Amino acid sequence: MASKRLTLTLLVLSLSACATTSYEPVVHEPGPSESESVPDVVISDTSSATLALLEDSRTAGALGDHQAAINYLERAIRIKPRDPELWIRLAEQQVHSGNLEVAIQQARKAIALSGKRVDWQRAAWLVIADAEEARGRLEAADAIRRKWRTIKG
Amino acid sequence: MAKSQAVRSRKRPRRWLRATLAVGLWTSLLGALFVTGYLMYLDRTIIETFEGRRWSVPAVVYAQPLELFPGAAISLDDMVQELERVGYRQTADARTPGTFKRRGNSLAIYARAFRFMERNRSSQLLELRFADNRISKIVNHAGQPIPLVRLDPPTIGSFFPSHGEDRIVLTPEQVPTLLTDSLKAVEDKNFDHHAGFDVAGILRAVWVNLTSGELRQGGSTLTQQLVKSYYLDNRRTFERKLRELAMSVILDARFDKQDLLNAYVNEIFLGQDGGRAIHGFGLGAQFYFNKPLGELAAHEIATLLAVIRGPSYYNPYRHPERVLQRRDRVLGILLQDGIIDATTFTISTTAPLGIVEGDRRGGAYYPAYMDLVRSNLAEQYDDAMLASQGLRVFATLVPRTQEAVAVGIQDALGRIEKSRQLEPNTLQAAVVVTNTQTGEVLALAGGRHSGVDGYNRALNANRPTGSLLKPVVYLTAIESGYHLASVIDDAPISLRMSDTDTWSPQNFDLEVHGPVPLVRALGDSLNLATVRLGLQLGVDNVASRLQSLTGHAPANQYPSLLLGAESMTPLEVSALYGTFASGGFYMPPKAVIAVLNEAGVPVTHHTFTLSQRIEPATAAALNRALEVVMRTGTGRTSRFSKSGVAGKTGTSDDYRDSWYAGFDDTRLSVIWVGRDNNEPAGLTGAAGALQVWDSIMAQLQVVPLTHLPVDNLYEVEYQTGLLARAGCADVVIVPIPDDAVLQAKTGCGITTQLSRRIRAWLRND
Repeated sequence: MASKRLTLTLLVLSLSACATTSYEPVVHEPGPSESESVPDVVISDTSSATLALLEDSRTAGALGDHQAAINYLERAIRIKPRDPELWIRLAEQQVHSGNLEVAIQQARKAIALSGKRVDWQRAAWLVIADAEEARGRLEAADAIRRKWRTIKG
Repeated sequence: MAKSQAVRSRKRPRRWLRATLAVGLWTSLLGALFVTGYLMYLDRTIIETFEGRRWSVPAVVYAQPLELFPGAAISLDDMVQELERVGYRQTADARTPGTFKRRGNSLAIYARAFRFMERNRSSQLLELRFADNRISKIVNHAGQPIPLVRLDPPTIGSFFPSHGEDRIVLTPEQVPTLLTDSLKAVEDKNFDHHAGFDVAGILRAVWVNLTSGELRQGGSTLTQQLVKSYYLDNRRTFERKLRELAMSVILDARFDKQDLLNAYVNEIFLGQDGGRAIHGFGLGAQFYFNKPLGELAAHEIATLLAVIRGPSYYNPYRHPERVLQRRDRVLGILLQDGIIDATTFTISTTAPLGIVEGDRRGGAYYPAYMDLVRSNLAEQYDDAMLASQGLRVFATLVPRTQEAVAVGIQDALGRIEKSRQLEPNTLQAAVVVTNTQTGEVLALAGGRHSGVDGYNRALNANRPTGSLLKPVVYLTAIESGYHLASVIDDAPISLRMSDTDTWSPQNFDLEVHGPVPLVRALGDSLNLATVRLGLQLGVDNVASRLQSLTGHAPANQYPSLLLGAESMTPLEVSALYGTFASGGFYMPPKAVIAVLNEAGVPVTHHTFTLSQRIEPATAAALNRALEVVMRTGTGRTSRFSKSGVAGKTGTSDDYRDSWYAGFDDTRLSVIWVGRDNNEPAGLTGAAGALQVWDSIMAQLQVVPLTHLPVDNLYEVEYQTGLLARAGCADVVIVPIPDDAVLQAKTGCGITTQLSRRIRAWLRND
């Protein structure tokens, strides 16, 4: 410990002469405008289409036609593959249809796509809880629900 | 004496007569029995065939329908191509289904009715407006904006049975009266009244043929032609003719005219397309005109009628002049019999033949992709079901992507062969393109020449993957506590494999690079560093990690596995890289979305099947490294290297196999280039497969990768792995775990980080 402190002191002394600039981790994401001569790059706007499909799937789901709801959501995902909400709704419909393994994996996919969005993460985890409950794994389901009751966001 | 002689002579003739009569009677009885028996046999045979064929409908396979919505990235010209792909015609005004009209920046489209997976969509008028190479607005016939609409998808194949006959079976309602009236007029005027054969017809035919000096009319009724079609046999023996006659009479007695006519419409042979025999007017319309039968014009129906007489002799592709002549003669008969009017006659006879060419021919044909469809279906459906039950298969193929692949392969390989002075037309390739998030196969090329039903390299060519397996080593490393700035030694290594055998791998540049960060070792595909890293991790750990990702159990358990001395097919490689591109999820290669029965009831549905195999943060780190490969490493010669894409080049021993696996935000492509005879092509991954990728992506639109926000990205110097900044060194951006210890590059003015690290260093005591 003492030798470390000595090294440290020496280090600090030798460096004190240098200009100190704060260094933060990079939040550097080159946006499309910054990219150098990017050929044929586009960002697509897909919201209205997927919203319509989401609506259709909600209606179908409410009417108990879960396969139709699944069809609509799959179409939506093909248009917007990285939208966590679509995967969450799809997972929900899988639970209603009794495809529990699939539901859990699709919910995990939603979680992986959620980044820092705690609201999406929660929604996905609660679907997993429903699937676990349907599978008879009641403690697992409880544990998930308990945990997410306390998380803010 | 004279009296008895006279009596004897009177008796002999009577006995002889009785004997003859008896023999005659018995013979006739036996003959009648025999004939009856034979007729019963014929009866049973023809009924079985008739009923069997009537209901024998091969499964049809559809591509993905094009989804149209405001903001969709498709230009007006590309949209026109998509419309033509499904046989839409440009007209003065779009007034019937299957037509469209251009009007400045917009397209008016009369979309066809179609039975989609989940619903029947009726035909509808649409207007698409375009701006900046995108759809800007869609309105319906009432002028109301609509957010989303689908185009009817093209048929991309069918499962015709092993005897090669393909057909689309039409119900009587789907057959235009113009066709049935014309059929009777041209082929069998007395169809409605005769009993299966038509003496008057035969006599008329003889007369016409004699007077015209050529074979203009056949004497066979439609029924006879139908029977002949069932038992395709070119031996025109008398016995055959008699059999056909008997069977025609039987059929005519047993079924009503409507049924027979409909059977004929669905059965008659209309042409040969390689191994596929085109049967029936439904498929004939699609094959020659790429349109549903209901949309054919009079001159097009007349063309099909012309072809009946002899699809080889009257092959519109080989003998257009001949067919045109016969078509016009057919039109003449129709005019004469009042089936068409004079105006139609004039328009029709002046119209060109109008058959479709090239890619649009026969509703387009993707045999390599269909192999994958077949493979996906094999578990639940056998060949007999697929060949006869009228199933409707909705597949994942995107024709536009498939075409880009086919063109890209041809362009790139041609260019490579030319610039390297290789023998032209000798390089081969295989390509698999999938959706990065769903694993659905968007395009698949089994070889350089698409549309050829041959060796499917994408599915079946097992080739050493070379450097393409390296990411598995680096994935294992990241999961074992390394990070992308961790330093490993790119130094010579020699392994004793046996008493006599030593393995001393080399780098591709034959140089030694010393201590390098992981990101560079992967980026520059350094063999020595990779082997050293892999040995530290344990080759068996890397092998089992590979297996855990996709189920592929490596045959090779030796250190050479680390350098990709392990064979995989392009499809398997696609599944492997799919686990990276998806952010950690294994997805089995999927070509079938759903199968419906003839009534439209879903039989099977295949949703997105995923299995999480890599932690999201780890997958993200690996993908960052693969981005560096493209920006700074062996992929930097790609024209898209700075477009926010990720990938890995791969070269196998002796430059026999050139590989590339790469993805943007939406599509993962795996490409192999090499030679079938396994001779070295002399191409690195970058010089071969990467060029093909460039050519493909140049026709599609590259979307830069989406990154989820994270807190732990740092700029490190590519050469050394030291913390640095863009201004003072060549840096790459990599995620670094919070508990990592990094050194800073001197002269870049980085200190706060250092003090933070020191605090951590102290804390660790």
